[in-house]
Amino acid sequence: MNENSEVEQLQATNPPANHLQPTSVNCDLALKSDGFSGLADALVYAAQGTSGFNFYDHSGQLETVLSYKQLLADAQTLARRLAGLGCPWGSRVGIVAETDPMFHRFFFACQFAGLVPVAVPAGIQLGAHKAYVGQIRRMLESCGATIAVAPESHAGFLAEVARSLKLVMSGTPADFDLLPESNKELVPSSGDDIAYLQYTSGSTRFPRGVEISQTTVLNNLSEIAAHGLKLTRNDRFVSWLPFYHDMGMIGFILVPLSCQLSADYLASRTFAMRPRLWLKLISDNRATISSSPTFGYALCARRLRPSDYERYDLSTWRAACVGAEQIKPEPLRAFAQNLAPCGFNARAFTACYGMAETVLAVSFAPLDCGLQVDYVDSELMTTTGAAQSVAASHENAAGYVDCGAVMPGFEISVRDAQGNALADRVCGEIFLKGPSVMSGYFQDAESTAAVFSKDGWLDTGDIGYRVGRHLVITARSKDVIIIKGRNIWPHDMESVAEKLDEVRLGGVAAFAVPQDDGEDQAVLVVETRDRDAESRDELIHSIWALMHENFGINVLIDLVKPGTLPRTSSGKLSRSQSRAGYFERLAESGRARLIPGIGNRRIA
Amino acid sequence: MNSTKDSIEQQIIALLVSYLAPRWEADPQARTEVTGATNLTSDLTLDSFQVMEFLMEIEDALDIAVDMNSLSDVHTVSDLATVVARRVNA
Repeated sequence: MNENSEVEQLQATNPPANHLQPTSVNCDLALKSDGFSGLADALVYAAQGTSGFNFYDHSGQLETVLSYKQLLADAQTLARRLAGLGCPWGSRVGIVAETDPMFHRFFFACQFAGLVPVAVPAGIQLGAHKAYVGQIRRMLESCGATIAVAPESHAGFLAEVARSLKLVMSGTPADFDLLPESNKELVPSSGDDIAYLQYTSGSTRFPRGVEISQTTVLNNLSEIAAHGLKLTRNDRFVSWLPFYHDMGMIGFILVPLSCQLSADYLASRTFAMRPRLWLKLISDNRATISSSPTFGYALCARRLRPSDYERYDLSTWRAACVGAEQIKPEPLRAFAQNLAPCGFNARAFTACYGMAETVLAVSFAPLDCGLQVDYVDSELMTTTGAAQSVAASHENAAGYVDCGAVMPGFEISVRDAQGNALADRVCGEIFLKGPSVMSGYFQDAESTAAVFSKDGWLDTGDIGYRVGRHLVITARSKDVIIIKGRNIWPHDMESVAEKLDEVRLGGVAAFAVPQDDGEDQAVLVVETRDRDAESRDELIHSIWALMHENFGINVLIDLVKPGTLPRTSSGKLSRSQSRAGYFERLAESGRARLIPGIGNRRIA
Repeated sequence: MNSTKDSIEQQIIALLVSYLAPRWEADPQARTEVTGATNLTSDLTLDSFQVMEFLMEIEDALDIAVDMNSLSDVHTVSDLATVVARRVNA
């Protein structure tokens, strides 16, 4: 009764111009989130209900409805067409992952045909034709794809790449529709069969495909449903995250599907152009779950006008998940404050931690509690690694967001550089073990060996500390800058620099370069569009002073044009590539060391 | 509406100048002449989100939808005008 009246209300307040109706909640089908033999099996169950996926266009109008029932029929037909190509079991299928129903169709066709889908990035920057083609070529080569497909919008790019690759078939969905259907019985992949390869967001130049089996993905999905998000039949997902990123693909295709829930999509570029459509969709469809990295909330808050504050009803949004490597509380607080009149509850913010190597999620903060910031003595942490709890008002207080308890299937171990397990509240490298951990990187024994310890633990590369089973992430281990025996976290330096009005959120990268005496030298690359010599000097002075105030160290400051700092496919800043770029600029300048402004006083 | 490439280029330049006006007001040093040959990213230092934001203004002003993927070969204002003119005349 309750659910019906909610559906009626939705229809009354939001009649789509084209008379399409988004998929509803399931009234008759019981929520089932485990016991599936594979993703294909999960779809077969979901197809008995009335839920599914809904695609909204650039103006926020419902464009395509793909119910699970329809997806099942489409995927099985397409699977028979792909099977007719006669590729060996487990052959890889590269799918350019635009926010388009073709992605779902091909992904699930692979599940039914015993093929392995690989999401290929779809995002292209202005003037970046060559870079994009190079990126998809490297990825298709790395996974040894035998089939590749792209939506019409990307057909030209794929065709350029396909020429030089030995593919059995490549083209658009329309090309595949012309294939005859095989009449052999479909054998869906299950158990230890590979469910998909996920290219990690850290690997723009040297792609590594995370290999995830059916058992592994289903394990993480059911843990997310039962322990992370505690999903019920009334939940509904909204997302603008790209499907070539784990949060988009796993979090907003596979999680809803494996629980028979509906999901509504906006393209990432639609969000970038019109971020308020994200809020409108959540409001119109009474969504309960939606995620974004910190920057998405910040962008949204920045574009809102006061007249928007009462336009939306965000009271149903119970889990506003925040992922990505480092969670910055300040922009989130601003978002919550501005949107409180819309019924947004700051307690909906749910910090989570995970990575493609563990399917998606490792930990979720407790639901309905908001961001829990743990304040520690930064001075003590820098000198000894101990994360001693202090009051927020303490002079050395540094706040880190608690990412919650690791889900029951995971074991955690925080270790020092020698591999010794560390106690609670001591910073070290985070190691994980459990049934959601990948078997390795696809056909890459070297990279696999590099991330697994001899006793079988996954080295996440992340630095943090534990408080019981709760994890607090402080930085990426390979990024730590050690100056005279002190650990300086680059993220901290970046956050401090970002406090300046002239420095954009995300427009700064910190890393270490070796000096002649073997000591680390901290470098801060800062994007600025300022070209006036005097004000550039002022900016350098301000940053220099801030670094001294906060860390007491000398830094080299390299001012660059906006857009210089490299980002991974998911938009994360790549510090290692920022560092490589710094050396490239050095080489181009013909100098041994960049000496911009005040930085040279340290060197001279 | 006259939709030759030249007239669209003039419209884009006018839109760009008004889009950049607040920034130039805050920072007169950044003010620069915008012509067909102006490079959007290196001369005007538009980042990817600003490019999207500006495209939205073009879309709204000319009532068209610009396909982002058609911008992979766009470097200058003139390149952009060519792509937009194709959409307007489609």
